[in-house]
Amino acid sequence: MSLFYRNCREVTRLVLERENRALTLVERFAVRFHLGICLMCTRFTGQVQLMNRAMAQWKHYAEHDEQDDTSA
Amino acid sequence: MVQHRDAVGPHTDAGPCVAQLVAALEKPQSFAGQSQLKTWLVGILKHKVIDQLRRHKREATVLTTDDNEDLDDLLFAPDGHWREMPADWGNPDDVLRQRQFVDVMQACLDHLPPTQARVFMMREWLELSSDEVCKELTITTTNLWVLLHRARLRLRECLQAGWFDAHPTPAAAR
Repeated sequence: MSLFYRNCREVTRLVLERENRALTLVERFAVRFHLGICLMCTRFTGQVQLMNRAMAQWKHYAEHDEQDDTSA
Repeated sequence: MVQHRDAVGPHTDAGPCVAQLVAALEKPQSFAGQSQLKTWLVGILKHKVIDQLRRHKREATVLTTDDNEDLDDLLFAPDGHWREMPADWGNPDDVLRQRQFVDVMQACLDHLPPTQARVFMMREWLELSSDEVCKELTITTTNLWVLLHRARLRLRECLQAGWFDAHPTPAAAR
C-alpha cells in the first residue's frame, strides 16, 4: 500500500516530470491511484494538459500566419 | 583609416542569417504564401539560435539564483496537501479558442525568470531533448527537472492571475 502512496505535492511533481521523462511502473500506478481519489490533483493535471495545448497553439501562432486559424 | 571594430565585433555572426533573409525577401514569389515564408524564416531563426547556444556553451549556467521563492512551499502545506483547491479552468476548447488567451500566455512566458525561460524555451520551442539541453548548459538532469518544474508552476500561477481569475468558467460563475 505505502509503495503506491504519494501525497499531493509528490503527485504534482510526477505529473510535471512525466513531460520530461518516462515514469517508472510504480510511479505510474501511484499517480493513477492518487488521481482516482483526489479532485485537487485531478484539476491540477487538467491545468497542465491545458497548458500543453496552449503551448502548442502559442508555437503555431509564433511560427505561422495567424490567418490560418480564423476558421477555428 | 579608422577601424570600427566594435561596430562589427560580436554582431558579425548575424551576417549569413541576414544574407539568407534578404535573399528570401527579394524573391517572395518563390514561396507559395506568406505563411510558408514565415515558417521558413522561423526555421532559419531556430537553427541560428541553436547554433549560437552551442557556441556559447562555455558560459556556466547560473542555477536557481533568479528564483528564490519556492512555489512548492506556497502551494503545499508541510504535510504535502494543497493549501488551496486548484481552480477549475473549464473546457480547454473554449479557452484555447480565444486569441487573447495566447497573448496572455506570451506575456507569461516573457515574465519567467531568465534561467527558467531559457530551459523551457529550449525544450518547448527549439524542441531540444533533455540530454541536449543539459549538455548545452552543463547542468545535471535533476537540475533541469527542477528548472522545468518551477517554470511550469510559474506559468500556471501567471495564467491563473492573468486569465482565469478574470474569466471565470461558466460553471463556476453560476
